[in-house]
Amino acid sequence: MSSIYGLAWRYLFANRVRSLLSVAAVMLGVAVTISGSMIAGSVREGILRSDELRVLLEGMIAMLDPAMLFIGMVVMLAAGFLIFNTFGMTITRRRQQIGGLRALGLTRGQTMRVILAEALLLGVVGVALGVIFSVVLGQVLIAFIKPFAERMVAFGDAAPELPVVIFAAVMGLLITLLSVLLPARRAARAAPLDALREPAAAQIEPARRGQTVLGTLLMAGLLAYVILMPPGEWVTYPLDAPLTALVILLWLAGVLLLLPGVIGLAARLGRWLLPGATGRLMTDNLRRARGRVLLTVLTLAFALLVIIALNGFMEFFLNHSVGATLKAAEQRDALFVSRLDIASGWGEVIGRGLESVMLADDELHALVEVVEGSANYTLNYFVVVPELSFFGSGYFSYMIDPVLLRGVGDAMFTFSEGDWDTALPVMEAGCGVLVSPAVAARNNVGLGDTLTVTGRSGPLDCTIAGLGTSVAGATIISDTQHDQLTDMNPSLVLILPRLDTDPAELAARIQALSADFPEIRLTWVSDFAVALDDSGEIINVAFNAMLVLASFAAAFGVVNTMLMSVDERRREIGLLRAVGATRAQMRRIIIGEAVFMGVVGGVVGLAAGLGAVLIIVLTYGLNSIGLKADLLPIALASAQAALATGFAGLIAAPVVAALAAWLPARSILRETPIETLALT
Amino acid sequence: MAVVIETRSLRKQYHLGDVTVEALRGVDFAAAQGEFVAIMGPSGSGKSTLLHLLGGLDSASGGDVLLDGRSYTQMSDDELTITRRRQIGFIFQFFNLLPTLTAAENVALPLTIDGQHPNPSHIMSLLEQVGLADRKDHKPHQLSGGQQQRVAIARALVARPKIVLADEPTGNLDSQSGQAVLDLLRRASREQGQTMVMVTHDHRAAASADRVVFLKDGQTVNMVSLDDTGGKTRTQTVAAVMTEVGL
Ligand SMILES: Nc1ncnc2c1ncn2[C@@H]1O[C@H](COP(=O)(O)OP(=O)(O)OP(=O)(O)O)[C@@H](O)[C@H]1O
Ligand SMILES: [Mg+2]
Repeated sequence: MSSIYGLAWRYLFANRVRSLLSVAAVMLGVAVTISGSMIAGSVREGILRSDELRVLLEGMIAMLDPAMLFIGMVVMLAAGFLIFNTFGMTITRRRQQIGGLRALGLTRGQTMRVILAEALLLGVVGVALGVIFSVVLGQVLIAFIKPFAERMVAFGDAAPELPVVIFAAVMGLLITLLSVLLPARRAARAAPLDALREPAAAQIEPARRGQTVLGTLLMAGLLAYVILMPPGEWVTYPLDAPLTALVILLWLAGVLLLLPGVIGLAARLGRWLLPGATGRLMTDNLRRARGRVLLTVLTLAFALLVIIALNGFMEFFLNHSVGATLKAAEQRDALFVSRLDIASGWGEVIGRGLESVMLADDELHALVEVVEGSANYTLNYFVVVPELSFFGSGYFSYMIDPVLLRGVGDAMFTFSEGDWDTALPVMEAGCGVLVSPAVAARNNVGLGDTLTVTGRSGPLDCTIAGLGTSVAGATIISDTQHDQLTDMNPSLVLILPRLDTDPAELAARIQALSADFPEIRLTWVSDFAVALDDSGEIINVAFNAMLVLASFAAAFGVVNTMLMSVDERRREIGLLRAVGATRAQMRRIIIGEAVFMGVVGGVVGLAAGLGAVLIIVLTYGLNSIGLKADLLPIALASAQAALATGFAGLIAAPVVAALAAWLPARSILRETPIETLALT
Repeated sequence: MAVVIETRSLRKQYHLGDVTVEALRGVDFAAAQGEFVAIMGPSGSGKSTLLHLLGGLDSASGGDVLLDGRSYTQMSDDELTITRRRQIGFIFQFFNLLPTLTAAENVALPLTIDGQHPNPSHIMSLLEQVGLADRKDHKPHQLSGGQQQRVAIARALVARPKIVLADEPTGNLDSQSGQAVLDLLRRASREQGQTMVMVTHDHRAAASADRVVFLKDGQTVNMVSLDDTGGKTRTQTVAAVMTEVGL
């Protein structure tokens, strides 16, 4: 051993399994962060190749990056959790050894440095492996998502981007070091006298009552607040997101405060359900070693919570929020004609450019001739005006003739401020726009205000003619300044059959046009909504694939704590074997304890996750996109949509925990009682 | 008297890398029902190892142990475990108690593991016998080393086992409580007909036994019966043999 850092190396080596798990967790965090951005990059790349059509999708893509980053960060945090846990535990056990070294003259600073060196070594190795692994992972994930997603997007080359790699590496190292800071401080505070003391046998201590009460009050209060007085009813952009984040953070704090009490209660319940020696020994273990049990349960619960919350949010976003904007048109047997083939999806069009979906003059003439008299219709031009983009800066807006627009009315736009009577004159007089409240708030304008936007040949003054929701959320611009915004033809004709017209018969007549114009496609808005749902499914699959990876990091954490939990209790296990506990009994105690933690984690995660969905929906609300709806049924429906995933997690959590405990249980129970009892 | 436990050329080797430690080199040992045997020998002579093998806590490298004529090598792990639970009481040199259980619960452990509901008065009488009736609800960390040792003795007796194996049970005790423990073991062997095998370094403790077996380098080197000491006190007899074998 050439220096004190030799100590660090030796310790890591002596605890190989633990070190490997920590490295694996950091590796996973780094790899997921990088590969997530690779997926987003590949999709972006695929879209960039296709000229103007990218504008239709860029908004979606703009959301992909932060979402992938978010998941990467979740995995990173899980890794940090694991490392904190590992070091926290081992340092409790190493107090004696460190005390001995302190007695021999190791200074506090040196102690700190030894432990930080250990962490740094783990971090560097983990980051390096993570960067290498990310390339493989990225390709594998893309290959996995591609078959589902190709209908919607095209994929280009995927390569890790340097800034992302650097970011992930720095985060990986930072989180590793931060995670050991507290344990290292605790180690440095070990007094030389600790060397002489037996490590205090962990004693059972009751959960702090005050903390439990506070947690219960906080969670019950939050739920009551959002259900009885949904903030989503009044909050609007830009306050909606921060307020939601705040309420969710408080909710998580409540979970954290309540958890020890829940574990204590569950242990008592377990004691009652499992009388006899095994039940007693099992539940005793849960009630002491609070830190370890708490971290394990927390890891499982949070993993499940994030999965449920994300699934519930996706349901809200796709089916009740933005997706719901299609509903108005759908209810009235609306249909549209375009060159877009819903069956083969947008992916097919990408690469051909926006001109390819533009309707030709003769097609438009023929179409108008057929529907005139039997239906109201709009000719929708797709234009991109950054200021008016619904989200991001590249989302499309519709440009529509105001008189035609009035004819389809609610099928295209629903007012939350203003009405058709006041809006139409404004739209006919010049550039009048119908925007979502979020777009208005982002530009700091209200009804009647003027907003200067970017036109094709310079700035263009537009007046806010109304606030509300349009189909697909996009802003509607009057076509009075047509040339300022586009030189193309409309790409879509929305058709709303009149009440005295049979929609099916009209559809048949339109369909007959395809003899002369094979390129046009007729689509029922209701079918389109289904297709949109499918795309939502794809996004869900992608998210869930990433979340599964995040769960791996959580599972590593659980394996790690189980290893330690068994190792910590070697002598007790040996003693129990000596006084006559069979292997099967010991297995039941060790695995039962893990299953118990899994069940508690699963139940807490499920409950807290469903609560989080309610909170997100009821707090975020629909004001920003200009929808008016009763929020509670939507919140419940969103939570219900996440229920299946939640129950899957509820079953998975104990299984993961049992597997994690099975490994160390198997190896320790292979030994003879004396081998187990021996101090190693 | 009937032989309860015996070993046949019992061997135990420990492998430490390339080095092989011969802890026991063919030990033949037997103890009869109700007999109180003390095992003495220098440090590292294999006393604890022998006791562990007698208790079925470790696997032998050669030879066999028979309890009531049943060979350990023929038993499955579960059979051996049940045997330990019901027929063998063990008192370790160190670490005997589960930290989360009270003294009384620790005493009752072999019974609760067996699925029985221990009779509280039985547990209390055992705790009284080791002088810890007033400590029944204390956790191990609230007890002194000697008190912990005495709880372990009560536990070793709780299932009324055929044989009690004790590794230096008085090592941590002052002479007075040490004597109390010895009297207890003595009485158990006389009154309950339990066989006691006790490892000790203390010739006064060994003097409580019916017979003393001396181990050296993993082999029995001498054996004295204390039933008939020919005028000398038992303590003197043990001391004399100890000098003889170089202890
Ligand atoms: N787990 C082990 N691994 C390797 N060697 C061992 C192990 N346990 C015991 N030994 C060796 O076996 C020999 C006998 O050990 P044992 O513990 O039986 O001695 P002992 O007579 O009980 O000594 P003491 O009086 O000091 O308790 C010793 O040389 C010891 O070093
Ligand atoms: Mg010994």
